[in-house]
Amino acid sequence: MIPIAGEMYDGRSSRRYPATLMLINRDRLKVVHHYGEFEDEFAAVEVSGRLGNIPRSFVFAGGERFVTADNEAVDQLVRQITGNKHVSLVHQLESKSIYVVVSLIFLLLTTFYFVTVGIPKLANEAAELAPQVLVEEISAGALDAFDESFLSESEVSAETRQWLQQEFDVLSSAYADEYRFNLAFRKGKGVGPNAFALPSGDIVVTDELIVLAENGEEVLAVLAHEIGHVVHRHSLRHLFEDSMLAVLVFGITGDTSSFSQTAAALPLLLVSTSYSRDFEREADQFALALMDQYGIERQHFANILNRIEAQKDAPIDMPGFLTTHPNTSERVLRFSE
Amino acid sequence: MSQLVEQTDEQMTETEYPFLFKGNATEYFKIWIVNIALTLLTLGVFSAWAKVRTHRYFYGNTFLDGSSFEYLANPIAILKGRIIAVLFFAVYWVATTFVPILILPVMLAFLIGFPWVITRSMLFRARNTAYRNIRFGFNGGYGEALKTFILWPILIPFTIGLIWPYIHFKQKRMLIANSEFGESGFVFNAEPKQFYQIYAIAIVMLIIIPIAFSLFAAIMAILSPESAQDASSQAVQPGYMAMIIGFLAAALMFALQYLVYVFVSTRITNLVFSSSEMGQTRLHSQLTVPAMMWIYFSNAAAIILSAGLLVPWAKIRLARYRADNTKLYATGGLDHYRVGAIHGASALGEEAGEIFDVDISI
Repeated sequence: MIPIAGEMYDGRSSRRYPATLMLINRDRLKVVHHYGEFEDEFAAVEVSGRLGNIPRSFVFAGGERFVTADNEAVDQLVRQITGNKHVSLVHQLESKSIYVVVSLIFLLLTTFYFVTVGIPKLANEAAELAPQVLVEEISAGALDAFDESFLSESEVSAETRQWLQQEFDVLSSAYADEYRFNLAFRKGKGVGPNAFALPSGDIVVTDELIVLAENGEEVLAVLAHEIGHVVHRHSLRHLFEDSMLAVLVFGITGDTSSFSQTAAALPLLLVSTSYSRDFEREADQFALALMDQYGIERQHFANILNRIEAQKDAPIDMPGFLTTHPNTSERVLRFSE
Repeated sequence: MSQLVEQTDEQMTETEYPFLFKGNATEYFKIWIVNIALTLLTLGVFSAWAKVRTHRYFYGNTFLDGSSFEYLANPIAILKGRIIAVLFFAVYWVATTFVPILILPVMLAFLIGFPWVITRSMLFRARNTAYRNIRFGFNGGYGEALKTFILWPILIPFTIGLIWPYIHFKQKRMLIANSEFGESGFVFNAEPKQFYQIYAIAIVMLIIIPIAFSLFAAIMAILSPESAQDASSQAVQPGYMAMIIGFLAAALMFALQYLVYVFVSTRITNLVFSSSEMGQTRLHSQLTVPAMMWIYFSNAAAIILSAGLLVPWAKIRLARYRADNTKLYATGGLDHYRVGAIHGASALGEEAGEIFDVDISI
């Protein structure tokens, strides 16, 4: 066997000694340098594993370290002594293009599956398991924050409220055992005609929406949609989905600088809004069934959607993949056959 | 053997030793992708090995005077550390979420434990880094970490943040001045004044640039001959104009914050490296702000456009730029450093530090 050229560091000082490593007696390694030599059994020497083309080191029991950049020669030496064809399994994976391609495909498929099926499913289960204390706390916190930032006390007449409350109780009665429904009236300073559901069962409807509606059924149609969000635990699932996405992104870009991580924010947003559109469709579906059940014309939901759409002051067409709600015309179509 | 390590031909002039990074993006891409695939397949267990392989690759490709650095951590130690850190994090989350009365004791325990985590992770990192068969070391104690990372920062709100550059100085000094290479200790000779200078420029940038921009915009609006016409067209579509102006202002503010962030981190890195000495050996870092801005920005763009697949390329590029702009100056060569006493280091500290996102890099 041809001696391997490299350097020796004695472990006591940082001095570098040019040296050669050779195999003697089938399984003994000997290092020869300018000032002397030493040897030991192969089994007593710790050889670093191959990784790319970084230098390999042989650590001897006395603390000496022989280092060489000649990776091929080291692999050959180890193979010769151990009779083992594969020196390092992980290095095999890293160096053969076929395994790299397989890893890449595996990674893409896993990510795709995780994002489209795994996360929604896990989030759903997590939402089912979430204890009521946590749900109440999250909801109360959210409502307080909304009240402080863009909601104020409702100015809608007491009769209107009473009528809506009665109808709402009827609409939600089938699910009242499972959820603590509560209808809250607010004036929406910044948000205009709007309604939203909190995981606890609190449903907020703005004065602007009630004013915009031409009849009570239109408001009830929106409330049916919001009941759908509560029954399907959408906001909680959304919360869990976003957290899991963030963990996923951190897992992939984990080691990079914080700035590269902000680069991941855009794909994150795209996936997150796509989840949100799925929820809206599910809530629409729920509202449709509930309205049929209580004999509310489907057309009312289509009408109020159209009116909300027409009322928006900045008619900028956002591309579909960037919005949290499905396209209004798509939604209207389903309610107006 | 003793005469072997004696210096024979000492040159008494200072020599420049450039750092050289030999990693390449294609090679690292393969390592990176296999690391991720194996981590997924083993439900995260392989992540400890992945971390060691990544560090080994970057250290092993960093050369100084013909010898490379080595990362020697044992993956099993890191795995244990990770498991303990995850368990601790779970307990912390459960306690603070479901048993509100525990929040205070848990926070207190965290504050008391945090300096220990910091010193342990600095020690772990140092002990597992070697150059020419000599390991680095770290001898910072709990008391100093408690003062630098918990007690001094309490003053931040009372000084409207003016104390921060001083604390930043103390944190860097703790890291460098307690580091050793074999038996030789590092000296940190930066002054708090130099940290204040960097932050002062950053503050001026944050205040002056937006004012200059709005003044410029205002002057343009007044001088523009079509300003009257503009006003009328604005009246037609206030929604659009407000939105465009809003977007522009937000983009400018983001760009400005980014500029200031890169400015501060680059200048602090230069200062910290260039203030680190060990006997007759000193470091010098000469990263430039425009180059770092370009690298961070183009890295981010490449990562977005490639759906993350260019992360390895981005990391290699950054490592190469840093190495190319870091030099070591030494008088009498690099052969005379001696091994030091051995301190133990478990991985728990560093992993716990990592999960709570403590940045201890220089």
